[in-house]
Amino acid sequence: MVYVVDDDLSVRRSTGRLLRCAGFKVQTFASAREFLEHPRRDVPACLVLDVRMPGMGGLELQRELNRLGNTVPVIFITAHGDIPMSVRAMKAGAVEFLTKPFQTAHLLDAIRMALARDAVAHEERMEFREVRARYKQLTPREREVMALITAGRLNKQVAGELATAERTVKFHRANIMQKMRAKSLAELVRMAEKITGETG
Amino acid sequence: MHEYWPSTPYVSLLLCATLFTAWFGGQGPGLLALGLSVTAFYFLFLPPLSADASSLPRLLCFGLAGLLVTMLASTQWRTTQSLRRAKDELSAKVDALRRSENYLAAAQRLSHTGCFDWRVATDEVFWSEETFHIFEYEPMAKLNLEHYLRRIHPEDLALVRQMIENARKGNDFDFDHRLLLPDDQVKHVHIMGHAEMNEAGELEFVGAVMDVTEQNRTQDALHQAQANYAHITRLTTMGEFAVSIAHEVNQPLTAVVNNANACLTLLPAGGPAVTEVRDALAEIIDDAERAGTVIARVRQLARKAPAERKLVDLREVIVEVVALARYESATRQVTIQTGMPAGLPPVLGDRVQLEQVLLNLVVNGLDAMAEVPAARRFLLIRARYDTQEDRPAVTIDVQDTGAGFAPGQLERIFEAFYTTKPQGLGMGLAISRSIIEAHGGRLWAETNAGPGATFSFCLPAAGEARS
Ligand SMILES: Nc1ncnc2c1ncn2[C@@H]1O[C@H](COP(=O)(O)OP(=O)(O)O)[C@@H](O)[C@H]1O
Ligand SMILES: [Mg+2]
Repeated sequence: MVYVVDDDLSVRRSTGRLLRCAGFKVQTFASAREFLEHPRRDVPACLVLDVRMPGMGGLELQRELNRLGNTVPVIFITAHGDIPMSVRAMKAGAVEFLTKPFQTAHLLDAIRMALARDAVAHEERMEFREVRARYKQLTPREREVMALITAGRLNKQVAGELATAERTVKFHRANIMQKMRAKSLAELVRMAEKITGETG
Repeated sequence: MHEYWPSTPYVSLLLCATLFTAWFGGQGPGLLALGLSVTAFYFLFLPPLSADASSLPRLLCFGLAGLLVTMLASTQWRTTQSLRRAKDELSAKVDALRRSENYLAAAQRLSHTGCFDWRVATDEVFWSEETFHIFEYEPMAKLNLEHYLRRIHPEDLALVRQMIENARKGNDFDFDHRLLLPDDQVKHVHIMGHAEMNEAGELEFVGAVMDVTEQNRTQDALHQAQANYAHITRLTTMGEFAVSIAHEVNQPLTAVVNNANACLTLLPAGGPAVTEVRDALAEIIDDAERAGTVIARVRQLARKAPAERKLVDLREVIVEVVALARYESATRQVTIQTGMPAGLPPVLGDRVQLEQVLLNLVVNGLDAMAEVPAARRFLLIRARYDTQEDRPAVTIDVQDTGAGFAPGQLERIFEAFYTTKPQGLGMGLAISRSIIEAHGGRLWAETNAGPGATFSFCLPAAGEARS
């Protein structure tokens, strides 16, 4: 999905048309506010953003998205760019900085690159969400056990620390592997890293 | 028998003493001296009355003579006294006169204004000290119009002669001309005269001549400075104008290229007509891109001219702009206040451009307060230390107590050609924003909690704070 945010009607309309013809799904917005307020599904996406708009400008929108933890790749187009401005935009994570009127090929290349980048990020986002959903199904006791075994403890040590029988630990362990759909301990450790990486 | 001194020489001595006393001391002391003389005469020169009856007439004779002398002398004394008083009064008056004359001369000197008197029938003139000084003559007694005419700048002589002819008919005059002095110095004077009839019934002018050379020079310098500033402003405005126009033109050009490309994509492969359409679309794209490059080049040219990058102390910018706006704010009865903390870091940029931005904001603020009662017109210009994207920065706020913004207006004020003023251009804020953005800063506007609006711009700090 390509989001186009530009206050100029003819630029907005024609950019939308161009991108649709090139085979992309497109949504257009007339201002940064409109974009922020519009509910969006989480699909691989990128943002084609005008730098200079009344109200919130493109650079400010980029900053706001960063603040919200939204990592959608941004392509800036501007009728009025200069070097310090583009440097700042790129430092804040922009994919490309194009000056109007831009070469269509450049825009299309940038969009393809941005979408590819976000596809990877999107995959990770989905995976993380999945893992977290599974983790939520664990009982408090199972979470305790999972924390210990992913920290490298043996069943016997876990039983000692939690003051239960080793047999009970084995039982929890089997449940955890099944609920988390982990095929091996190594995979479970990776999942645990993802979750604690997010929360810690 | 009592021995008596021979009386004659001593008697005249006694009378003399009485005379002197009355002459220099007046009537009172004279009479006292007379009493003493009579007593002395009686005891020293006359036999006692009891012994000689002839003493009485002699004593009376002496007394009468003494009285006469005393009266005469004391009259003389009174006359002297009143003469002296008259003399004192006169000299006091002369002093007062001289003092007021000095005041007048000092006032004339200070104001570079001399006075004159011109008898038209004889062309005799009389000048005050300062008039001599202005025309650079040594003071002299006999003067006539020719002395004046000799000092007139040759280029102004015709004008002056015409004014004189006109004055001879009894018309008052009031005009400016130049003098050319013996040392080739040129002076500008303002001269005016009023026609009167003197006691002899002749036409006479009383007037003043004022040396306005210095005044003119100051005014010229002021005009020159204003003209220079206007010129610079026009230059930078032209540049920024081009930048803004480029922005406006680039938008539709972008749409043209986009649409043509979309058409190209949609066009099916096919016969010669389709090929022709494809070529036409390709040409449309090429031409639009060519127009884009032309505009980019104009923009670069416009940018190149004035943009200087030097360390600028924003406090100096504020002081300069307030000075430039002083006349405007005074005539519009607006109080301008400034707040500038010490130790603000400088910024990197073009001082004239930054002054132009601030001046724009100040003029807009003055405009916005036109409808507000004079007592509530305040413009506050404040510099403050700030951060921009976590880096040190300096922000200037221009806060007014004006009309503020109508709903939806705030979104549009930075657009090129957006204006709500009958004489407005609507370029001020658009240009100001592009200048500030070219300096790596931001310019924005907010509605005040109270009445009015605040415009602010923030620029990255360059280097350390200076105190
Ligand atoms: N201080 C202010 N208070 C209220 N409105 C303002 C102020 N400054 C600017 N504006 C609005 O923004 C418009 C655009 O300003 P500007 O670009 O400087 O152009 P102009 O002054 O020629 O109108 C003004 O016409 C006015 O409506
Ligand atoms: Mg203006």
